[in-house]
Amino acid sequence: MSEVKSYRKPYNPPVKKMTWWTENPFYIMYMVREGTAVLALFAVLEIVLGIFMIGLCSISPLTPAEAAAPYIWYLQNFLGNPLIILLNVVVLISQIYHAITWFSLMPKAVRVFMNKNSTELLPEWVVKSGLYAALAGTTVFILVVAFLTV
Amino acid sequence: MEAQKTMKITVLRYRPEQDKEPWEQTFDVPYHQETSVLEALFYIKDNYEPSLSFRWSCRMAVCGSCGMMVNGVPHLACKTFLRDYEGKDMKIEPLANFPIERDLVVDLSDLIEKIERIKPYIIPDAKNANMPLNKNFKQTPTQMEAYLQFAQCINCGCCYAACPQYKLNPKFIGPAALTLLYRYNTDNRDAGAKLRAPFLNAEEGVWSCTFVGYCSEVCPKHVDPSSAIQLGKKMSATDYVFNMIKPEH
Amino acid sequence: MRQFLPTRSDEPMYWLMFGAGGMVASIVLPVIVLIMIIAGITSSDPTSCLLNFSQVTTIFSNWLLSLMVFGTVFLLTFYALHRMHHSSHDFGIHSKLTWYIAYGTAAAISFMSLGIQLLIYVKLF
Repeated sequence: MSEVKSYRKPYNPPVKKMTWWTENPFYIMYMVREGTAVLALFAVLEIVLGIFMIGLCSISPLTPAEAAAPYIWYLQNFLGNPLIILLNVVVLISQIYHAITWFSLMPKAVRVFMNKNSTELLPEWVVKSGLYAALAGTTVFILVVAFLTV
Repeated sequence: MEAQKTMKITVLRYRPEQDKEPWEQTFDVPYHQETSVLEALFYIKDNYEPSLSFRWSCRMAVCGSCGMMVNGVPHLACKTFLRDYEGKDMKIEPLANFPIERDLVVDLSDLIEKIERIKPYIIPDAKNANMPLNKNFKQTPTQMEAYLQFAQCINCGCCYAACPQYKLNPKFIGPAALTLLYRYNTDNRDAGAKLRAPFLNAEEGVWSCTFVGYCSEVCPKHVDPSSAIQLGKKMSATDYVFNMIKPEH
Repeated sequence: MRQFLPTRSDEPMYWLMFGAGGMVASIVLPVIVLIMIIAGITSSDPTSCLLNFSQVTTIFSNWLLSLMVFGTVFLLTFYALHRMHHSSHDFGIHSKLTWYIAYGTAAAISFMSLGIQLLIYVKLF
């Protein structure tokens, strides 16, 4: 043990456990990105509510024409509610924001060389544009099928 | 000669002998096109406050000594120029998320300990362990390129200052150490992945990272630690699945 | 010197599900929400609008389509609650309780959906 007196007295800055993210715009955008998950959960709950309503219809003892009433309520009074429509627009925007952030981070998890003798990496834009193409393709495909089978 | 401009620079001071907590001191510093933040600190030390303490060595972004917060963002003082803050005031603080030792000097021992923990050196396999020193390991350009970017780290600590997960949970091994872990694991001369695996697979290893991505944003050497951590997550997840199919213990 | 090695985390399991769910949320969820918006706007005529009763019963009477709906619901709930679980950490709450709440809720929602879908499938035939 040294006889020399230590004058060290390190100062530990306090950690703002709840509000650290308000101090930097980068952190705010990160929290917005994480927050889109809440609205994704809301969308899932909407879907599950719809499934539940169809479930109610399917166990109804009424004739098939009358049995659809709970689902029609869901369609007109829930999905058709202006407030829900507005909320769904917000959900749509949030999920598009999520998609943009997701696609911009995805290339970082991909590190592939062009071939086994190349020092050139697969460029980020290839991964990114593949993901955007998948989003566009899926959107168009599902919309077309949905409208054709009405 | 062009007219000399001046900038108001606020520096966070902390003298452990007499101060209970840090306080701010403001100086007017003249600067020109080439003045770096480090040179501004030299000016303050030479002309106003001889007692101002800060770390520096190479003045050319090689040694990694002068990491500090400039307007709340981690920077190397030698690589940051006053011209980029023209018309604004500047606030210089010690690197965030580390204990402040004195003025702009922080205690980086946690970072150093974590880097040591992941065995940041080449561990050859049994066949090559006793290779004579005059023999060389062969490496193709592709094999070198696989890790080279992640070998550029200078241990400045900027990524730890940028990482909210390290702020919230100091047990997190953190960006630089995990990047070096990935760097040695992907080196074809190395066979130490098994020894490093416990630190990679742990909760405080890659799994404390939520991909904020700010470490890659501030890294002065463009190492991209967040990319290395995501690749490390893939490594760890693969190992997890293999371990599920065929447990080691 | 004896070194205490940290234990292996089970996070990879949740991370892989989160990754798949995040992919679904970015590629499939936007169009689902868009269809729900259009269905809501045009629902004054509930027999010929998007998602009308005969259209949705067609989906749920087909086992493959129904399974795809379940897969989407399952991955999305796990993705969303995994992210919210980690957000609770970002707000300084470090507790095993949020783990149970998040994954418990996710399992409850998705398996409730599977149960109802099975019921619909059985009743429709």
